[in-house]
Amino acid sequence: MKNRLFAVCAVAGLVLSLAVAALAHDEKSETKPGEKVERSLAVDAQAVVTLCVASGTLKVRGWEKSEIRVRSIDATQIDFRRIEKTRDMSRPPSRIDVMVLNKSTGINPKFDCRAIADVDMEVPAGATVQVQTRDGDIVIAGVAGAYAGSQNGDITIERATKLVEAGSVGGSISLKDSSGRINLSSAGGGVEAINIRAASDDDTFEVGTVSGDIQLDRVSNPKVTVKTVNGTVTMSGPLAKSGSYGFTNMTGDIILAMPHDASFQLNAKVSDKHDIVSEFNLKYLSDATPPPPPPAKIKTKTPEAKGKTPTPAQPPEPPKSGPVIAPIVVQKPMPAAAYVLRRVTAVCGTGDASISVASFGGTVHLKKI
Amino acid sequence: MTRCLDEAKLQSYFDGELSLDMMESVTSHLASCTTCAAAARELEEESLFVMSALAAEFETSVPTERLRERIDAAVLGERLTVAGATQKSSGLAAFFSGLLNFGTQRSLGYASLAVVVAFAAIFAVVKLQTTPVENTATNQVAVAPKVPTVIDNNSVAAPNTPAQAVALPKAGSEGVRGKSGSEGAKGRYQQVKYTPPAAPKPAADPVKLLPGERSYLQTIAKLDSTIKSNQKDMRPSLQVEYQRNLAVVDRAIAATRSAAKSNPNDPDAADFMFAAYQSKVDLLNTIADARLGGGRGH
Repeated sequence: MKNRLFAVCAVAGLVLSLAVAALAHDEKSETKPGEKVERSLAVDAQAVVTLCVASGTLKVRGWEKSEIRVRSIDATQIDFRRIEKTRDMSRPPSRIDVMVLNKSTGINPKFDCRAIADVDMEVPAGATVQVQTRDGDIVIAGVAGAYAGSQNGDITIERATKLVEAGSVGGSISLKDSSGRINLSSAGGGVEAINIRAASDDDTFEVGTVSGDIQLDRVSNPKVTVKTVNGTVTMSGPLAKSGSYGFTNMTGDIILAMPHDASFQLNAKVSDKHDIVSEFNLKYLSDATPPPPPPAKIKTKTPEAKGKTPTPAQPPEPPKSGPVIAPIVVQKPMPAAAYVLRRVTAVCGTGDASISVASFGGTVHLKKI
Repeated sequence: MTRCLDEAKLQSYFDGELSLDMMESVTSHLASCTTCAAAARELEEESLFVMSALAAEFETSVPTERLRERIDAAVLGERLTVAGATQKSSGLAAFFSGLLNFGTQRSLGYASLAVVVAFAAIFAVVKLQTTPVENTATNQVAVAPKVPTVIDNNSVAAPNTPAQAVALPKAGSEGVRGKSGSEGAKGRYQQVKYTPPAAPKPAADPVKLLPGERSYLQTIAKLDSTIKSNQKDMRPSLQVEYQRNLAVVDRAIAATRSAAKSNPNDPDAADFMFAAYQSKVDLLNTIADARLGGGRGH
């Protein structure tokens, strides 16, 4: 009799425990289709938060709370993984992995970064986020630092304050109203940066593409480096005083639109088969440079003469330290069999900023705005 | 017979090679001469010892003279039979009947021939798979011998260097061009129509690397092999973007390399080439990272 009672109790206990476990599992991870999964966690105000999915659009927004909140309709489960080395549980975490799981991943954390889900996330404004998706777009706004990577999706970042690193293979990158150290790269997509400034003296701005066009507007970082293979580079806006600008292009054109009172020194390496078209009064520096092209090949182009046939060159004013070429159009020379590289060193105004242009097979335009 | 028997005569005695008279004489002598009798016993013991040691060899059947005669007779009969059949049938049929008439030696011969043919076939297959450049005649001509090829500047290093393996023609890139190559060739190797040269031309000079170029080529080769190792896992959209931009970079490398080569004393020309190489390295790094999925970069 005792044995039978023991067996009944054991079976009942087993059934009860299984039921409780199943209910707990349902409460934690199971959601109905279309139901939003949301998780929140108090974190350090300058936390580093990572989020990655295989596919899906990621939207990250900075807010004033010291808390992260993650929402997704497509996910079945969202977890936080504290990855900082110090295990002081009394303090809010400063390094957090956001684990997004859905049907494509199951609940196995080994399938991290393989979820297919659109995710919205709020993080502290002082946080640094690292987000990555394969196919979806990335939108980040109002954070201190942003690392963003997408294979084919577009990346849009606004109001980042300390640093931005964004890379895409085929998607475009847009950065607006941000400051700090900037590094943007895309192979085939275009890159656009508007109203960018340095947060400290050594904040550099670097951008590179293979075939994507690059458009910079009001970038005032003290050091700007632009590289592309055959994209068109366009930079407009005032130059940073004592700023250093480097442009390297293989076959695309380089267009620099600057205020009429811009002061810079130009060091250009261009093919003699392509033109340097300048609307500025450039003064040649004769030191360590090859002699300027023959006068017969130099023709002026005033701003009013846009779209018209260049007129013959006016006699240059007698220079104090060298010949003055104002404004110039260095016309294409006669076709030559071999590649000839021409070096042009000139100064405009007092030469505050330094502009280095290297164009293997493109035209360089210096325009006034 | 008073004189003692010599060893040769004793050996002949034991071997049964003496005549009957001599056998009787030796037997009577051994019966009366203790010295020769002792020598005979010693010789007999030695013979027994040798016989026991070589017993295995002696057990092997050695064709006797009678057997040899039977074999010769059989062979002669066989030849006569074949000759008779040859007179009745055509030469080709006789040839095949002869081929199909398997004797023991012929079977061994056929087996050996089969082994040789099999080895030759294996060797030929392996050789075809590993030959780097095959000049396949496309139009009624056999394989073209030593057709000079113009090698892509950015993809081939000097011979006997590690970078020689950097043959990186991609779809859309300049690739390896044959002498009469068409621009549409996208494969790794291009078929070349062979036309007999009027005069033998020297082989194409190996591409000489410009200073500083080797390290870029080696890096590119490593990255390229990394990408190709799992290229099947690359998504089509990424693959398309990769190939498109790779072609752009390869064209830039080819152009800048040509300029650097024509201006060997101009460091700026080389700088353009290095910038183009660096663009390719950056692109390959980006693709390799993207293909691997990135993951969380803590």
